[in-house]
Amino acid sequence: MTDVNLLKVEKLHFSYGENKILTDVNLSINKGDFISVIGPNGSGKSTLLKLIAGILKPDSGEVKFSKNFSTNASHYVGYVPQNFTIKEEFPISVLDVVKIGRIGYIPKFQRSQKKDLEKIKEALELMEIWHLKNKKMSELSGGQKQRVLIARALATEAKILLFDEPSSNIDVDGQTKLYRILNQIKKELAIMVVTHDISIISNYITGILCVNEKVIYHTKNEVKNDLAQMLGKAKDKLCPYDLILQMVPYKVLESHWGDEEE
Amino acid sequence: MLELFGYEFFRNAIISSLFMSIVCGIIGTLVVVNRMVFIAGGVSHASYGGVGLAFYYKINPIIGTTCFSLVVSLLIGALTYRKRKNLDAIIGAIWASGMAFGILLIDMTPGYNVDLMSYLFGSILAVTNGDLFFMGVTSAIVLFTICFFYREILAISYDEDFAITLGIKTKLVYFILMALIGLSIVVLIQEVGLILCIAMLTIPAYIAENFSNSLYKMMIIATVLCFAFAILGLSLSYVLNLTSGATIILFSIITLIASKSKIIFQKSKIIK
Repeated sequence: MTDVNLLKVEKLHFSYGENKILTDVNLSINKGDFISVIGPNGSGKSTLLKLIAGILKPDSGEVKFSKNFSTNASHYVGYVPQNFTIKEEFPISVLDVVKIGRIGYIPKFQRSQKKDLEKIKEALELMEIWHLKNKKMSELSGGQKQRVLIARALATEAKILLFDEPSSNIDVDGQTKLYRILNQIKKELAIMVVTHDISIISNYITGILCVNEKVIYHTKNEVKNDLAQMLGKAKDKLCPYDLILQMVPYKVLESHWGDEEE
Repeated sequence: MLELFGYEFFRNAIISSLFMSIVCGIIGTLVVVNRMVFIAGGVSHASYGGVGLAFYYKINPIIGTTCFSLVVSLLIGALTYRKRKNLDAIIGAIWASGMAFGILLIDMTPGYNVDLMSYLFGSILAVTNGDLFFMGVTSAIVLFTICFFYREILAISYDEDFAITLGIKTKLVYFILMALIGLSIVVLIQEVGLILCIAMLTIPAYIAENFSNSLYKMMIIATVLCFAFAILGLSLSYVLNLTSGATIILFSIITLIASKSKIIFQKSKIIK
């Protein structure tokens, strides 16, 4: 099942003016992947997600979706932005926010169909916020808002879910619950999560994407096989993934062991 | 008071207020939730260039203002779409240059002494049947376009990045919205003038925000409020013999202060 390819990123370059953000990114995402995206502030984690989501255009290179699906990225990607990007006082209810995820499925001048309402209810129930459906967004806590945005992404029926720091407003219990839910649904899709704290998510992920202008992808198997060899190296040459396995607090290092092998 | 309805100018004023309210309620709501007040201000003031252009070339002022306003709104749209750098300075420059352009053209118009006040502060009691027709058509265009693109506009207004991932053509919708702002400004200039039109675009919508849990409800409440302000302001200006446009705005501002008094007079809990 994990062999079904959903996305290929090829020779992707992106910069803001003279400032290079991402260089020569190559990446392949399969069905069932649950990837944690890590890296220091300003390393290009959120930019990478926005490039995959089609929000930003690369300077060069391509983001290709599987040939089995249409070329329209909107059917593939469900994007959950950072909470602070949402307008606080906007007059909108929880139900209407999640309904936005169904735009494209509902014809012009028609109300939501039964299937749409079922998908919306399913997403809200999965995030355990169905009881909040008629509440105004501005009345919710930060964590509740975050769950509404996740429900909106789920309602799109996307093949790839992209989360930009979803745990920033959620407590430890909430994070565990969220990652457990994502772990359940990952069988049918691929998930990428930008996070600064991978202590909890490391129990569920299938790989780690280290981003710091360059992007290096580690699968769990790769790390297991090479672990013994790598641990023989100096500690500052280790990948964050290895450090996590050794229960060392996470940090992305300036020099990365993958660099040496190129 | 009732005898006023016997006069055509007063009936026209009421009908034009209704059209203005539809435009203000809908477009004003979008201006407020999208934080485009300064952009709308830039379009409204710069559109004075269209007034000057119309008088200089002796064409119908409504046609001149409409064309110029559309050009200015689309220009501002092109300069502001997904750009935040020096945004306010650019809009400020267009704001001032449009007005200066209009004034210079009117100065250069031979032997013509245009009544500037009617464009700056409106002339609701001088609305002609031709003006009414234009306002009716504009209101219908605004209403239909917003109904057609409602879901897309809602998605973009709430979270533009997410709207892009849904495949919504955000740039097209943004330019349509800018064009509608440009058209609305022309309707408002007739009623309350270009100086005060920004107040009518923002005040009813800002009050309506308190009582709305959806975008369309905010539009409806803002429309009703705008019509109420227009009728009450118009009546008050007749009784007290005041300028109608300014009285309508004053009435709106008093209501705004009353509705937001809780926020305005709330003691700040922030320790400086």
